[in-house]
Amino acid sequence: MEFQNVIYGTKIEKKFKGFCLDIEELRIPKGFATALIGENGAGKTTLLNILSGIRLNYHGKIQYFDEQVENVEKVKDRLGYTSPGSFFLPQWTIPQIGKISSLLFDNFDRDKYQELCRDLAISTKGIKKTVNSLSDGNRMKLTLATVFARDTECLLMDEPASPLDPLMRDKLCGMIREYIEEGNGANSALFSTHNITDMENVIDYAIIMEHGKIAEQGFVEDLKEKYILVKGNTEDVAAAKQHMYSFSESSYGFEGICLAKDLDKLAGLDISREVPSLFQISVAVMKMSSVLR
Amino acid sequence: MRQLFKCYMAFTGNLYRILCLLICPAIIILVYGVIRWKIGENMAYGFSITCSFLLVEVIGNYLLSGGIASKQTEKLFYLKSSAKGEEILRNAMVADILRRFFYFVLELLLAVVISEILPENGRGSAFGKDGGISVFLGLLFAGYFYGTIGIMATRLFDSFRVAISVLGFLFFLASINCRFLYLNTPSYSIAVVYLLLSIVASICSIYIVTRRFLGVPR
Repeated sequence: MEFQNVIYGTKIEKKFKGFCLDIEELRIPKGFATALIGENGAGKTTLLNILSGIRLNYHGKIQYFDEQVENVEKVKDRLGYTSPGSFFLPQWTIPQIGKISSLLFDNFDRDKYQELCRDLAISTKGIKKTVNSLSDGNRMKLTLATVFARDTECLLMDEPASPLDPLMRDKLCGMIREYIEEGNGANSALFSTHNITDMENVIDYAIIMEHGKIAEQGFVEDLKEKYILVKGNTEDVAAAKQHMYSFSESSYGFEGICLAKDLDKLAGLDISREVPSLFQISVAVMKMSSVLR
Repeated sequence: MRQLFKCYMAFTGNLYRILCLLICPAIIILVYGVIRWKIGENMAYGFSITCSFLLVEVIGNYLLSGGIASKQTEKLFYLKSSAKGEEILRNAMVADILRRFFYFVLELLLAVVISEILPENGRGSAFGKDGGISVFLGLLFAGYFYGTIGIMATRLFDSFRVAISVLGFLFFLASINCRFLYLNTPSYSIAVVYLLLSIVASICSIYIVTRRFLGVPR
């Protein structure tokens, strides 16, 4: 599928001790929600930090939006970045964050921020609470309130769903979807997640990372055509295994992901085909290069 | 100047302002008054006011922005996500430097005024002796220099123990400074040395946080 890029990067490289982020070409489609999926230490956070301008010591070329802006400082007002952990100074109070955000971002709507703080029930025991007295989940909600209270064109969110409860994850999916729809094709979102199943209904495009490289990427519907979930009986294990992309067997039979182009090779076997979930595709892709087996 | 003030106010909470900018300075002046009235000792005066100043400023700064420039910190991420983050952080730090200097001058001046108003208790006024002004300036710039060093340390380390240890060390330096100023023939040169050191320390304190903020350039 042809699409415009909200972010386009080439030869993005960042070396650490024992790890190297090495991305030949990165394309984040404009007007869609993109999920960054991968194992712990795959390089998702490093990539998001580079794209948001938090980390500047890298090699490579990154372009933002249609105007081909290359300097991230010029577009920071149009990007909405969130990160888990201590994103704010722990001593800051909820109203203080509103005040500081007004100084930091011209497009910050303080009334909307207060409304979001109320809607997301960030602090029921008083709005004057400090960041360090909030739970991880409420801290993430506070981070989301600051970013959704701004008029941005691209969200870059690092693990937004991880500290949230299932109800709030569902709400987050709704918020992302609403954000994309409100933009009429101009708003995009890129977020890393381990909670693929919970977030699947909002993911349009997926990028699966392994060891600092992109192992697979594409629109979810295209990936679901590229990979097929195959289930079969125990007697066909040996014949099927060699043509499968990923494979697991039990006393009842086998199950795994097969590339659609290899499906013909399973002809004659007693198998059933199903459309895999994004979670199943991601796990299969990750298993191919993971040290975990 | 208005922008500096705005940034500083955004970084400070109401509790900090009430405690560290109103109540504690008032207590410092009061405590000095009591020391001056009851003990009447000039060196105790100098030492107590410098230490009180250090205590309020270093601990206050630890509570406000402790570990802001520590390694492996994400505390600056929100500021980093804005194009104005560096400017706002720098403005707040410059405003804090100016505010701290103004506060210490004010505290010392009020202390001097009190020392002149209260009964002498047989010891004479604090700055009535020869070289009184140089003692005043020596205390001012030394206290300010130690305060800046203490604040720099609390910004670099998350640990409260480190903040307390630094404070203890600064108290030790302050006591040496007070002994030197009161036991030797006061000279302006010591005040000038501390003034220069204060300027260097202030610039370094901003540079270190800004450097941490920007990370290693590409």
